[in-house]
Amino acid sequence: MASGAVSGAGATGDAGLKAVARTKVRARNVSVFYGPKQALFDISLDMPEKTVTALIGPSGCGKSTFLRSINRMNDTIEGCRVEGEIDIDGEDINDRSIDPVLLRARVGMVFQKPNPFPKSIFDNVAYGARIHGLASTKKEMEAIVESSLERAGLWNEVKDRLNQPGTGLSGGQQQRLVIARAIAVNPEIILMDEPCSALDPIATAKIEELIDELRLNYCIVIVTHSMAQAARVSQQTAFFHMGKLVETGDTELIFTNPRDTRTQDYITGRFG
Amino acid sequence: MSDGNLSYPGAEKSRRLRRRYREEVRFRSYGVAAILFAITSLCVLLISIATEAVSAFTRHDLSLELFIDPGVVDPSGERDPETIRANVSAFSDLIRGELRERFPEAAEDRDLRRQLARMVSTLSAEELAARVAQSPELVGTTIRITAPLADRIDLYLKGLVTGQSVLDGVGSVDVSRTSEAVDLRSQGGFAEAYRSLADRLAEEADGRKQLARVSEAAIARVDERFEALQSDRTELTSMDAGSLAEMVRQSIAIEGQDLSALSLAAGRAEASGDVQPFRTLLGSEFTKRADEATREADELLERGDAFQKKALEAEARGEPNAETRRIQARTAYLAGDRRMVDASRLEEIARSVPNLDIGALSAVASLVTSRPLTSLGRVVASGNEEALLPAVIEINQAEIVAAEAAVADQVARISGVEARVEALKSVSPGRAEALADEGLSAARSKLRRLERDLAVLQATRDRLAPPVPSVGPSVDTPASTPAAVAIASGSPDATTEPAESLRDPEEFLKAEAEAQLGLDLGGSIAAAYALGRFEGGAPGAEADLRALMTARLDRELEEVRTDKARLERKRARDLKAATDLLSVASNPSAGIVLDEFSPTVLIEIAGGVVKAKQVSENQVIGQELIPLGAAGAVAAGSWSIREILVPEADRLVTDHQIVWADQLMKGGDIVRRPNTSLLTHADSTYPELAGLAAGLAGSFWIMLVTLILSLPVGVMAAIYLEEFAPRNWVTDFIEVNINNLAAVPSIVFGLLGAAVFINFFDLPRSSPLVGGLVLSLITLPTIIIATRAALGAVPPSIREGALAVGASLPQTVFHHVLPLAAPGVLTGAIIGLARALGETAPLLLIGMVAFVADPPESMLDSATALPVLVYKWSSGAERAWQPMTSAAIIILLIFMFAMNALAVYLRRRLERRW
Ligand SMILES: Nc1ncnc2c1ncn2[C@@H]1O[C@H](COP(=O)(O)OP(=O)(O)OP(=O)(O)O)[C@@H](O)[C@H]1O
Ligand SMILES: [Mg+2]
Repeated sequence: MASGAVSGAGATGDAGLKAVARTKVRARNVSVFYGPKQALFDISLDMPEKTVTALIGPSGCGKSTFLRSINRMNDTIEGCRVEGEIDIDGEDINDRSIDPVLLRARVGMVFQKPNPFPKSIFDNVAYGARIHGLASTKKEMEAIVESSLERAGLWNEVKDRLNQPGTGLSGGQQQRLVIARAIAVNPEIILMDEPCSALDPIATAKIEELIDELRLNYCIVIVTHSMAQAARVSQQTAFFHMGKLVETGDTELIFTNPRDTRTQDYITGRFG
Repeated sequence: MSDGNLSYPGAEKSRRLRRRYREEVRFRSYGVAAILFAITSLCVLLISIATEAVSAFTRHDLSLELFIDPGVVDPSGERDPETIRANVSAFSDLIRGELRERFPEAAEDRDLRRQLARMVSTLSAEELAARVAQSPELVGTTIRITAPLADRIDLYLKGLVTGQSVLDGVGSVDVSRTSEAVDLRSQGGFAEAYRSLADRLAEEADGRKQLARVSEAAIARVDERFEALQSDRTELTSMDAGSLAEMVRQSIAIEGQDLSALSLAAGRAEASGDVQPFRTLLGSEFTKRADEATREADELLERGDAFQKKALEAEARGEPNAETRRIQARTAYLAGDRRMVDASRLEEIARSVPNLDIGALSAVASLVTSRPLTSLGRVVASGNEEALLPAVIEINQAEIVAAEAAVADQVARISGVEARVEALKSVSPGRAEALADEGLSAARSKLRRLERDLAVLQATRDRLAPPVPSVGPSVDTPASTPAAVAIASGSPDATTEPAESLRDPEEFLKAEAEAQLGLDLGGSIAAAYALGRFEGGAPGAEADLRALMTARLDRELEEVRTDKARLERKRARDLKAATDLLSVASNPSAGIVLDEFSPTVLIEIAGGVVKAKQVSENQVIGQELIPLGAAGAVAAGSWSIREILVPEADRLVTDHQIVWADQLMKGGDIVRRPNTSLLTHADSTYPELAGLAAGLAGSFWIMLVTLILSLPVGVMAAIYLEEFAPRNWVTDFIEVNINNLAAVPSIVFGLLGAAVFINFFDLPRSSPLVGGLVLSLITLPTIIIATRAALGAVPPSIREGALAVGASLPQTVFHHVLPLAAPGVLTGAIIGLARALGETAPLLLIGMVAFVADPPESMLDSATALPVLVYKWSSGAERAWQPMTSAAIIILLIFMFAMNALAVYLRRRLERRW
């Protein structure tokens, strides 16, 4: 019954978004197990290009787990197993021919707590580009760093202190630094796991602004606990509950007219 | 919120609060107490070491103006540096000559000259020779030298040899000289010195009295025992036969031996004529012994085989220990073959036992008891001639029988050996030869000894009983036994040797009997035999038994008596000494005579020093150590008395040396300066020459090897285990065992190192390479554990961040995790190395304890290490080693603290916050 609801929701969602952009990431029947425990059940979700997809749901429902299976970060967790199919541009990322390291260069990730490397601001941004050999000269590298910081909206604030440690920045700046670090390797998709939960409202507003700009070039998937944030930054929303995808669709539609009572309860703050 | 608080009853709440505060205070005070305890112990330890060490960091040198006499130093006039350098004894002569000039009083006396010469270290002449050899132009000039003083003089000047006290000398003194002594008189001027000495005498007298009291207590105990024995003895004479037998039985049981059972059975058989029990017992005894011998022989031969095999293997491999193995094999074979012969001989006897009559059985039994079975009682106890002679004859006969049996047995053994040699010839010619060489000759010489004993006994028999026929039959009785037959064929000429050692036969035998009583397990064989005879109902056996027991008691009484006499003499000696001491101490006018066991009293007066020989309140008679000026009156205040507390006999510095050293010190000729040789010299057998240079170099090399080996290996292993290895039972097992390894006592690694690196890989013993290898084993677990902990402490967000930008696992580890863990890794490594620096036991086991005269120059030279030097010096006998040891400990600690400080510094430097 639940799967019927999901596929139905998917169908309407697809119909609503097809006009906007083509699907970038396509998840089909994804189940994730932590050892014997199943954390996700048969998730099927399409995440279109140049769109922000918000994953919402109560704590422990599997949002992060789903997010992490998109860049195969789950591989690093002992005993974690992913079933089902996830395609990026039609290519199965769990295929044996796919190198997870290269995949992660295409799929950037931003975490809940800002985690800049304990190196200089410059090195933080340059690190990814350096290990992937994106710049052959110092000039090119500087250009990459500058443009990344620029796009992350941090350039003006840090351009005079590039050699100072990234850990010396404020929380919001650190989070933007991390976003710049992710952008620097030219990803196609950016995954954000509650990027603003450790930040104050002003910093949050800056990040949200940034997400809105980044949307023009990237496919963004964001996990958030803030309904308001989901409503503000995303175009598509997926509601997870106890490891299942309950409902997905156009953000506006979900927030104004949820079809499932659980979604409605969650949005209106009755549980979660 | 305040609502919630108010809902608790107020009293309850404050009680809880108070309890919580109390708990916090208690916990904090525990912590403070623990810290204080740790700090105090550490301080006490460090301060005690440091105070002891201080004296080793400086040393006293003698500063002299010396004319480098060309005639002495370089008689050839060639100024050849090598010849000059080699001519150490000439420089030694120069220094001695200079000293003798300063103290002319030493010149006449050989012993004094030696004492004076020994004030400077042997090193000083060598140093001077080296200096002059370097610039030969110094020959013929006068130069200032500093000669290190001998260690004991140095210690004396540092106040480590003896305490001193300055005593009041009041009033003026009249100085007069007799032919060989100085006489100092002063009305009451020496009262304090006298009192100090008298107090000491009184103390000593107390000590002697104490000893006398101890002797007294011992005498009381001896008296008690004496009385107990005496009453036993009185009881014995009136005791009825039954309880006498019971008493003997108990005394035998107390000394419980298989041999007693045998003797008992022999006695019964002899008295009652029922031989069977004795026969059975004897048979089983020999069977038992034969079995034992067989088993031992088998073991030995097996061991021989094992050694033989090893010898062949070693030979095949061309190892040098093949010869040792062969000798071991040969020894084992020889012992085994001999034991084999024993076994067959014992079996033979066991087989023959059922056919023997009582006489032959006794003879055979004497082979086991190794003395004849007789009741010696009559001989020992008898006071009258008539009773003695028959008893003496009886014992003589028994001894002859026993000796004949021994000879016969030995003859049989020799033929057994010969048979074995024949048998072995076909199996193993080598073993046959060894047995023929050594086994036969030993057996033959034993036979000769036994024959000589027999001859002596036979000569005694002839002297005791000139009417041959009366003794003949009893001696001939055993002639029908195998023993006597064997003796007849074995050594026909044994009796021809004259027994000149024979004294009065009765005295001789009586003494012999007494000796046997003493030897024979306290007389239990004789007692058992006598008891057996009594039980068998032999006539006169009861009297024998009683006499025997009486004799035993008498012996004990005699022992107690001599003991008591000795104790009483000692007590009397102590008491007399105490009275003598006290009488001297309580007679101020007589004066106390000082010897080398008394403290030395020195009187500095009239520009000289007098050593007191006799001290009373008003007069000191003494000997001039430094000549005095003119005789006559010396004013009050211009003289002084000094007491050197440790007696001259108890120290290595003589009174003369003390006075000379003081004199030189006063004249400013002795300078105290830093003891640089502690760092620049290698080890030496003289404490004043010994230094840590070799140990420092050795420790440096060892640490280098350890660092090079254990740091990369340990860090890589830890990285693999922590970051790359899958989590499964194999890695769990490895992890547990690394922790176990860290807990293994270091001496075990030493043993392992000796076995593997030295014996198996044949690396040079006591080389820094081996030391470093062994210490690497010890530091590896520490480094692995520390590194893993440091890696584990790096937050996972850093790893995730790196992985998320597409870094591979190795990139993540080496670019991000390891740099963050570096401070922890380095700290762990340095602490591990510091521990290794202080390790002694494993280094001793790989041979680093050997004396090393030069610092090692490579990893393969013989070396020693700092902690090993500490260990060696700490066992040095001379007093001077103690400060040296402490100094070495301090230097070792300085290095360890420096390393730990480096660890802290690096940690601070490298630590980055995230
Ligand atoms: N490493 C892990 N090992 C075992 N179980 C895990 C692990 N990580 C997550 N889980 C379990 O998987 C389920 C989903 O977890 P997940 O972290 O995806 O939830 P979430 O929706 O992100 O929650 P939140 O909003 O609190 O972050 C939870 O029940 C959680 O207990
Ligand atoms: Mg989450």
